[in-house]
Amino acid sequence: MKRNLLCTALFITSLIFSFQAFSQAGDAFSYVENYNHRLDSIKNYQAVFTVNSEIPLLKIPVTRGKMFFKWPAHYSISTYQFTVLPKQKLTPVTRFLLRANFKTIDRGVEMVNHHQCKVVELHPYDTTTLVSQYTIWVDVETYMVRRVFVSEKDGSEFVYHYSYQSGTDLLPSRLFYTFNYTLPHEQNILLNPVALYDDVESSRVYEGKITIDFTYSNIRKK
Amino acid sequence: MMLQEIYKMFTRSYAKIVLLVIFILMLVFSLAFAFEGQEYYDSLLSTFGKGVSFEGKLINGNLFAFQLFHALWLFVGLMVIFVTGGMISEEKSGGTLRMVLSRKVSKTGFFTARFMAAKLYVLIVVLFMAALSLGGGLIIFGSGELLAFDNGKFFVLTSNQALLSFALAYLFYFLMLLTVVSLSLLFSVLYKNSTKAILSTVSVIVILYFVSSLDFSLFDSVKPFLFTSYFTSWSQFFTTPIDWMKLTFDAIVLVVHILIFYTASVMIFSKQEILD
Repeated sequence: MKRNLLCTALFITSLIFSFQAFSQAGDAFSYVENYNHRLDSIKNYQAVFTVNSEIPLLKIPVTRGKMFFKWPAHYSISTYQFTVLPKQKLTPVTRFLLRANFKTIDRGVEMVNHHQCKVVELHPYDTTTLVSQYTIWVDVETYMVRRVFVSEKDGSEFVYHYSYQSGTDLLPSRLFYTFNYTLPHEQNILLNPVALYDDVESSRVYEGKITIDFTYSNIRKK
Repeated sequence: MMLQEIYKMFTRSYAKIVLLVIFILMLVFSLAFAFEGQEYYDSLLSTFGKGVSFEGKLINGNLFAFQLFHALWLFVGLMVIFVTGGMISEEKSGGTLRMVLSRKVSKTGFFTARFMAAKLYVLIVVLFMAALSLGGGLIIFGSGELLAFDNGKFFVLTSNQALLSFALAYLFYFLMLLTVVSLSLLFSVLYKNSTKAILSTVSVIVILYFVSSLDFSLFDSVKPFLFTSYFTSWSQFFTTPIDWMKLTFDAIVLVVHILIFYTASVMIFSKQEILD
C-alpha cells in the first residue's frame, strides 16, 4: 500500500515537473511569436542602410543602399554599389521561424549587452531542413530579439546581433552578422590566376563580419 | 632616321599580325564572357559559403577588361618578341645592315633609333589592348564596380578606382614589355639569324619565369634579381591599399634591367664588324 502511494506520488511529481518544463518551453517560444506579432503591426517602412564588411580574402568598400518593406512580407533592396549582405539579406530571421515546427528548449536567462534575455533553443522537426538548431535571445522586458544563432548540419554557423535605438520601435538600428566559411586549398589556387603560389594559404575556416546600420523613414503602422 | 625606323617597324607584317591576334582574342573572350561570365563569377563567389549573398551588377566592362588583361598579358608579351626579335638580326642576314650603316649613321644612333621604334610599337600595343578591352568592354557591358582578385584575395574597387588602377597597371605592363623587348633586341644584336634571336629570348623568359614562379626556398635569394619576378606586379594595382613602396621598387628593377640590356646591346653592336 505504502509502495503504491510512493509510486503514485513520484508519478504525480514527475508529471508536474515535466508539465512545468513543457510550459516553460512553450512560454519561451511565445516570446518569439510575440515579437513577430508586434513586427506584423508595421504596415510599411523605408530604410537607408550602410554596409561595413570585414571578410577575410574579400575587401569591399563601405556601401549604401535602400530597403523597402511592405506588409505582409515584401522586402526589396536597391544598392548603389556591389555589396555583400547576410544570407537572408535584410529579412528578420525570426520571420522564418514561424513557418516551421520546432522542439523548443528553454535555456534560461542570459545578459546580452546589459539586457536580460530569455534564451530559447529551437530544433526543427523537419529533418530535410539544412538548419540543425536556432538559438534566440529575447529581451524579457521588450520582447525584442537581441541575438539569433543559426547552426546548420554541414557545420556552418551564423550569428545575428541586433541593436535597437529608441524611436525606431521594433526595427533594429544595427545588425551585426558573423558567419564562417571554409576555403579548400584547390579553390585557393583557382583564385590565383597569376600562378604565383606565394602567400596562398591552405584550407582553413574563416570568420566574416558584416555590420549594417539602418536609418528608417516612413514607418507606418496598421 | 627615327621616323624612317618607325615606318619600317610598322610596315613589318609581324607587327600587324600581333595587333590582329589581340583583336581576335578579344572577340573570342567577349563571347565567352557574355555567355558564361556570370556563372563563372557566381562559382568564384560561392567560395564565401552560404552565409552571404551578393547584391549589385558584377558583369561589366571593368571586369571584362580585368579578365582580358589576365588572359592576354603573357601571350602579348611573347608575341611582341616575334616582332622585335628580328629587328637587327634580319637586317644582318639580309645584308641591308651594312648598307644602312655605310651612310653617315653611328651604330649607337642606329640602334637607339631601332630601340625607340620598338618602344613606340610596344606603347601602341598596350594602348590598343587598353582601348579594345577597357573601351570595348565599357561600351558593350557598361560600367560598374570591379571585382578584382590577386593572390587568392578579392577586392571590390569603385569604377573610378578601377580606372586609375587600369591606367597604372597598363603603365607597369608597358614597362614589363619594354624589358622583354630590350632583351629581344640584345639577342637580335648577338645573332645573325632572327629565329635564333627570337627563340633565345623566349627560352630565357620561359626559364626565368618558371624559376620566379617556383615556391621553393632554394631560389628565394635569386628571385629578386630576376626581372621575371616582377612580371605580374601590375596585378597589385588592383588591390587595396596599393603597396606603393613595393611597386616603385619593382618598377625600378625593371628600368634597371632595361638600361642594362640597352647598354649591353649598344656596346656589343658598336664593337661588331658588319661584313655581310
